[in-house]
Amino acid sequence: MMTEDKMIEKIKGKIIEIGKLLAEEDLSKKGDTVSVRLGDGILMTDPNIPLAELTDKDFKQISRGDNMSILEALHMAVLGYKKEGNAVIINQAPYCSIVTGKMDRLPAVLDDFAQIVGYSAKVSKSDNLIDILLALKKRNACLIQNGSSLAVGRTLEEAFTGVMVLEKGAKAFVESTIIGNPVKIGLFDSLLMNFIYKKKYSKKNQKNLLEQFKEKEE
Amino acid sequence: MKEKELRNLVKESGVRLVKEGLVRGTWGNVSVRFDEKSMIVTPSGLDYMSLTPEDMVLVDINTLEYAGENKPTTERKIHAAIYRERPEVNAVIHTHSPWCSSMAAARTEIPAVSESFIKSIGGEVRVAPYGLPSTSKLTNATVSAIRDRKACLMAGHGVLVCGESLEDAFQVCKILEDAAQKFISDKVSLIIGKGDVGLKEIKEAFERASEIK
Repeated sequence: MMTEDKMIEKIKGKIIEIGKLLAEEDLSKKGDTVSVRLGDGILMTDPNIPLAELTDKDFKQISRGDNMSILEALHMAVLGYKKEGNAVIINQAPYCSIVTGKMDRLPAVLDDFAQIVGYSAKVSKSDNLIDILLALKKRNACLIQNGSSLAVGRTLEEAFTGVMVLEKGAKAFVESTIIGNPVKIGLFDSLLMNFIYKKKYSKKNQKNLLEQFKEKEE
Repeated sequence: MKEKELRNLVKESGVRLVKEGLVRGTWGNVSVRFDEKSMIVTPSGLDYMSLTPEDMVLVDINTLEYAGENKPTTERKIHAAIYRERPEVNAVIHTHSPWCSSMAAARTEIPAVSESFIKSIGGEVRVAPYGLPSTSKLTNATVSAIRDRKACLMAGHGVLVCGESLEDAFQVCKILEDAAQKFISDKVSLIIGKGDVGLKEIKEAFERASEIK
């Protein structure tokens, strides 16, 4: 059976992979971070290293009670607030950044956004931790006033899908506004799709990442 | 063509769509007609880059029954309905390509801008009214919107393309995405009065368009 250290190395490898994918999709800039739940703390990437250039040395394990930077505290707080979440991605994506400067929420104009994010994604009123948590209320993704996007997932893949869908939805909203006619997905349809999506995946991936990796090994 | 070759062709088309930026992750789906009664489609929820020809699913176009462990794409109803209605169609591709998705979000037709566009697609690209994914409403709306065309937009969702072959359908996807990009870029230029369109110009046009609203 795998030791916990080896398991953590595997998780780091997965985060490095996700970092590269984000960069390939042009969804990442320096300062972006990824974290995963680890026991009562988190494992988080170094914000000084671009996600595309991460190595297994660019991670920090943070436990409750440790001295933390504001960004580390944000990751801890998000995973503390979203009990079902195991992974958080905070990234800078071009179209999401356009929306944050202009709107207080990004409505769903595409149905995969409605399905995965919900009827809308809120933009936090400020970069303050409490405002960001408020923007995440009843949602697993939000936009941050400073232009970043945030997605929580039960797995790293789910958080990755969250930031992808946010950016796809932001692009569609921005450009459909330019064309002249952004049509929102109806509230009932949004709620229904979001409910089905959550129900479909509720029995999967509920365990924390260490347990998921252990299961895969066995 | 034999089943094995067709499975490989579907797999290669998926990879090609990803490489061309027309599909991301597990979004979208591809199928080919196998014979009068069946089609080979991509499975549901699997990454195109890691798919193997064996992962593709053989589906009955009349009953939608399928063989094997993989579940076929959830949009199989639409693929099957098009094969039933259009005997000349041998390939169907559904994408959420970036520029076409914006047109689908605006529920705005892509106009037939040239003779070659009309020759390739059949005319302006209509928008199928919105329907929840996997419903008969969406299937019927899509089949109706793509009638006598090789493509239609699906409101709030993406784009559907069909062709005499996968190569034909693939080329239509590219033509459409270019046309959608040009349509949006022209709008941006019109709003801000500048020719070259990049992200900065899109942001400026969005801010101005938002103010007008």
